[in-house]
Amino acid sequence: MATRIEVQETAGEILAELPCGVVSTLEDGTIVRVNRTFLNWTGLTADVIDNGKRFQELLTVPGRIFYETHFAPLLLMQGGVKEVACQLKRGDKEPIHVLLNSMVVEGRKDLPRLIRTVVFDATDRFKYEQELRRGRNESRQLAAIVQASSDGIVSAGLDGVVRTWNPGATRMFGYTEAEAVGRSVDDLIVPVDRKQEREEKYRKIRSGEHVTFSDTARQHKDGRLVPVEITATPMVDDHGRVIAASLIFRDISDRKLAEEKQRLLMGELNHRVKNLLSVVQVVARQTASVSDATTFGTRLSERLLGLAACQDLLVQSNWQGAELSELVSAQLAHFSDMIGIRIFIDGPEIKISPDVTQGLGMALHELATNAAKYGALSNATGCVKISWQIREDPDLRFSIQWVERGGPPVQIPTREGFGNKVLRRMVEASVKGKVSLDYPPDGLRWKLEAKLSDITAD
Amino acid sequence: MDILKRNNVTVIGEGSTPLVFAHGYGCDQNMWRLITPDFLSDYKIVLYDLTGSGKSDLAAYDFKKYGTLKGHATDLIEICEALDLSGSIVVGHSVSAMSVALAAIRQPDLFSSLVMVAPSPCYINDGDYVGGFTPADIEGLLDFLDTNYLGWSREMAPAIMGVPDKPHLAEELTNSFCRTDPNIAQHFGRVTYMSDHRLDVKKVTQPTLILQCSEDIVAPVAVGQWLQDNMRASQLVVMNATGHCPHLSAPAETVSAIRRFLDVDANTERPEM
Repeated sequence: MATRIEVQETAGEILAELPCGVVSTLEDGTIVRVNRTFLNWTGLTADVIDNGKRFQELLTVPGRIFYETHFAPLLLMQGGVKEVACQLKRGDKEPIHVLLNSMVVEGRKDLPRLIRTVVFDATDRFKYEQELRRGRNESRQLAAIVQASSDGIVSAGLDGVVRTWNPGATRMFGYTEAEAVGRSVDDLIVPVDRKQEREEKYRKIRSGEHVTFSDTARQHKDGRLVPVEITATPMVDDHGRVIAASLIFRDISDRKLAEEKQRLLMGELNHRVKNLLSVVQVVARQTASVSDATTFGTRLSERLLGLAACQDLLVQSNWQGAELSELVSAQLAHFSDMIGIRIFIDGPEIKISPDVTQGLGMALHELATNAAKYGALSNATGCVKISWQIREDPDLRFSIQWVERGGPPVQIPTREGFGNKVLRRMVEASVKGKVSLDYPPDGLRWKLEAKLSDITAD
Repeated sequence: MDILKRNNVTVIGEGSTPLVFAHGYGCDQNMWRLITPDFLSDYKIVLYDLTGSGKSDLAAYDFKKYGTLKGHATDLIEICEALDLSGSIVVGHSVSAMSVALAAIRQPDLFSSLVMVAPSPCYINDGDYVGGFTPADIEGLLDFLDTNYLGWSREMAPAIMGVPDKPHLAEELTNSFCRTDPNIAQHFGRVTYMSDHRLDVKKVTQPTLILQCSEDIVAPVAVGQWLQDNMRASQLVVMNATGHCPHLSAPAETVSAIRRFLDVDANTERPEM
């Protein structure tokens, strides 16, 4: 049976010593009553109720603005406000963080309405909330990074069920966030033949390991495989237990493509270098057969320079071939001051294959060398016209002509030198075309005809 | 877009002269409910919620458009046009006094006279100009707003205590008054307190009443004085009311000040009648 416990304190004493501040004001905030706790917290004295001080004047500036723009209107309109955080000034001391609950109380008889406010010390709560706010802001920033990332960033439970799915993952695998969340990554993106790899990954993650697959593949919604690098990291809870996995998918299609391209280029280069060495061998042997000891060096180096010019063009285009007009200009570089005056170049834009670049380049080199020594460019008045065309017959046909005029009278060569061999056979072999070489008296004429598809780059 | 829906526009009253009320920062059109009854019989009263406040369409809050008060001025013009109003008297509280000024400069035909309740063209002190605050005060305020929205949950209006004997009223208000998304509140707070419209107000040509409270930390008396000195057709009334919301704390005094201005203004507008 409960017995009533006798206590010595009165209601007034309880109110005065409550563990919270109590303030009673008029509607405009003028303080009319405060309890002792409030005076102790603020360092004010009891005469605060006689000098017409307003409650809002005790707040720091931001709180005071908030009081006027939110707090007071709310009180006047709906009679109460609760859990408003603000700071009370305390003379020289640091302001104290408090929470306010206020309500309007109708005055008795003709007395004015009053506002009753309780003030809670919220110092520790404020600090905690400050940390929460800081954490929230940090997580917002991190979320923004995840949202903007081009990598697919996904989190999944240990059962493989997707929890979060960023726009990068949507771009990479085709599923929207709404489609992906709640479904198993197995059903979504793991190809049948990679299930084992995924199992192994999850086993490691469960044991807290960090896993990277630098070259694997996952399946797009439309069925195609996307080559990816996967970085999987365990996510732990407050107690250090692994609860989920963070999965970062990087699309390595470009990297794979670049690697493949590089491999092809290496093979191509090897092939070209071997070819070039055989060409150099032939050039050297043939040059030796028509030269004496004094002229061999000069002739050979000129011819090699011609080859080098072709090589430069091919390197510039990544071995994709060369623009024909550039090839012509490169082989006539020694005569560049005559172009447009004694040398006329005319033809449409056409990109020729690497093989043709080399064969045609050598032919042009020999024609230019011959013209300078014996032909139209060996006197002061002759000229050369280099022109090419494409016509339909019925397939697309390509032809190029080298026509000299105004040089010294043409002498038909008595034996077939190297130049001649180049101009006919090597070109025919490399270009799969038909060459004609004539020596009418007014100037040399050389012509090559071929199927357009045989000479162009892809 | 339905403009009247976007801004939750309410039209009431028996009269024909339009009287438009634009509420200030942190509240909604309910702010005016203690003074509107006095104008019902002779005015057409237009109330609305600023985009981003009250029951406006929060989805329409474009952070770029409302990055300056021009966005709110555009809204006011659009509302007047949608209702086919011209020659309106427009009452703007606090920050809306400046939006109203911007609208009145841009479309002078739409607005015949202005009432600015507790206005301030610039809250931050600048040389001889006393706005009342330092930049640090304003930064503190924005941080403060963040603190007070911590408890905001997506589904809940700010925690507001109801009036015990009128719970239905409390419930209704909890769902409307002072309700807005915390990100919008932060943004609008920044736009409001960082704004400087001292050059703009000088371009207002309409007769303007400046209602200044005698003790208002948000818009001190010096600010009201500055406005009167710098606006062409303005008159300053310093009220006995204190605080920043005289239309709530002293509705009778506010109504009679507006009435006096409108009656005098109406007489000077139509001397030949």
